Amino acid sequence: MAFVTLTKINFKRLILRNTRFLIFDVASPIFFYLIYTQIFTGGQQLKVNIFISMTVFATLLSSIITVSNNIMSDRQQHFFRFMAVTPLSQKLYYLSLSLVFIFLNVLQILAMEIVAAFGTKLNLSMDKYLQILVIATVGSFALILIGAAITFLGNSSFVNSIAYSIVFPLAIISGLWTPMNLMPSWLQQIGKLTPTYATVNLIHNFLQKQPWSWNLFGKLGIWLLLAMGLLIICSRKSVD
Amino acid sequence: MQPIITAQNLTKTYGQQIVFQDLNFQIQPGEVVGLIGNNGAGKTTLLNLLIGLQRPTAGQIHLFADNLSPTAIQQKRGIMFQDDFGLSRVTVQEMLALACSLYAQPLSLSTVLQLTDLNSQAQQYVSKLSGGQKRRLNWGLALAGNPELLFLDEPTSGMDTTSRHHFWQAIQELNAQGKTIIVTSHYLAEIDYLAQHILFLKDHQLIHNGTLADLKNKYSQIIVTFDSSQDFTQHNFHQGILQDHQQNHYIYQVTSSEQFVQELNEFLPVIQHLRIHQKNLDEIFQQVNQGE
Repeated sequence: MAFVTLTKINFKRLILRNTRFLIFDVASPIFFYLIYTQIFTGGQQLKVNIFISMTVFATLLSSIITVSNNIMSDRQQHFFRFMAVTPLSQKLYYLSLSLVFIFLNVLQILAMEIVAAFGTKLNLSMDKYLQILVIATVGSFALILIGAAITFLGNSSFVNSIAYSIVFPLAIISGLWTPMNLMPSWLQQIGKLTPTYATVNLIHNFLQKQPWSWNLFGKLGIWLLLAMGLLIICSRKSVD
Repeated sequence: MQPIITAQNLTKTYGQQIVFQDLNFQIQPGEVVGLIGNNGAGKTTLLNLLIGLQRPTAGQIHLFADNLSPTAIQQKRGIMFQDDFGLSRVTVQEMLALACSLYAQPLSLSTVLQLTDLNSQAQQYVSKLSGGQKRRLNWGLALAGNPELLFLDEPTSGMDTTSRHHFWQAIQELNAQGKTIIVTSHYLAEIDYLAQHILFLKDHQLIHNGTLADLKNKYSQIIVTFDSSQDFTQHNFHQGILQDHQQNHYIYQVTSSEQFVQELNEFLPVIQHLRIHQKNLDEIFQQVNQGE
């Protein structure tokens, strides 16, 4: 009952009643995608590569920055203290928020797909668009938990700096903005360990009907477990 | 009757700094307890220990029965913090509905709205409430679970006089239902009005752990004054001692104001401006803190 009530409230306050933010959150990755398709012109495969990278970048942006901003806002309004002294557990809180942010990521990806299909005429079948949607969403789970975990690192401005320090370097080294083969080999090795690299390449695997990659899926799984563990450890600190 | 709260040898330190040490007290069910002390005396720390937000450096606290789990304890208590709780873009009704959904036997949402007089603000965002309305929302969040034990931290700060008096009435009604209430407040008239039991923190110790009446008797005499053309200087009253006399003005220190006034009964036709004075809690507080 409490979980349902809390999730309804979260859905309303974070999405339905936050239209300006929602528009910005959905529009910014679309903007990046359109810029990239104008800068890098080429055939269908290049368009697909850009689309997949920008889709994953969209989920990275919202999972780290949007999640951490919203949790910090709740912290500043003493909601964590409320949780500490009532039967509302942090587990329920994070689970509820995760569901809402997963939904937000789905909205973002759908919006990107609509722009890709009708705006830039990206020629992909419905089931391929669906595969991209599902894998990119699953790939965002670990990122959402990382976004939640960094909120324990300090005050709002510090957490914001950390969030941006994660998002943009991660986007670069995992090859979302520039092809990885342009980077030094040592940086490529690091990039291949990132969750965003795993997500992008899992999508490519599925689209190209290549054999299931346990290696990539395992990397995502490990990141999910690490992020969950980090959040659990951080949340055992005293409340504000 | 088993105490609802027992504190044994309670000590809290931060490194070398002692907040308080070896506090021992019990709170019985149905009491209204005022927790008072200067800024920095440790009231908030003691409250945080009782609530479970902090752990004692030494000693023990027991709430309710010994074998109750932390979850069960949370179901039976409500807390009204000084800080306002809320979430952005959430209405008063939603916030209170969330609070009610957390408890096994909550008050109904309509009851909570009525008790907090927030029916008119039910659809308003929490962030748009005035300071006093936010305090009433906090009050509603504390009451939502219909708790047996209530902790109130500066409950009426930011409230106007009318709201404050309504709040005091609400506390008394809850106490009449058998609820135990712990109040901290810098507004000592509030403690004076509400509390029966006082915990007074000073110099890392509990300098008073007893009734409000005992505190007043300990630090303040009852003084009766009146004017009269009759000479009382040679008259011995059983319940009062003449402290001072100037022309027609008499000042007596008494042990019981009611009994002394009964003794004065026969002299009432010749007595004017009869006044009874005992220091209020605010005056006693200042007296104690000044070291008298």
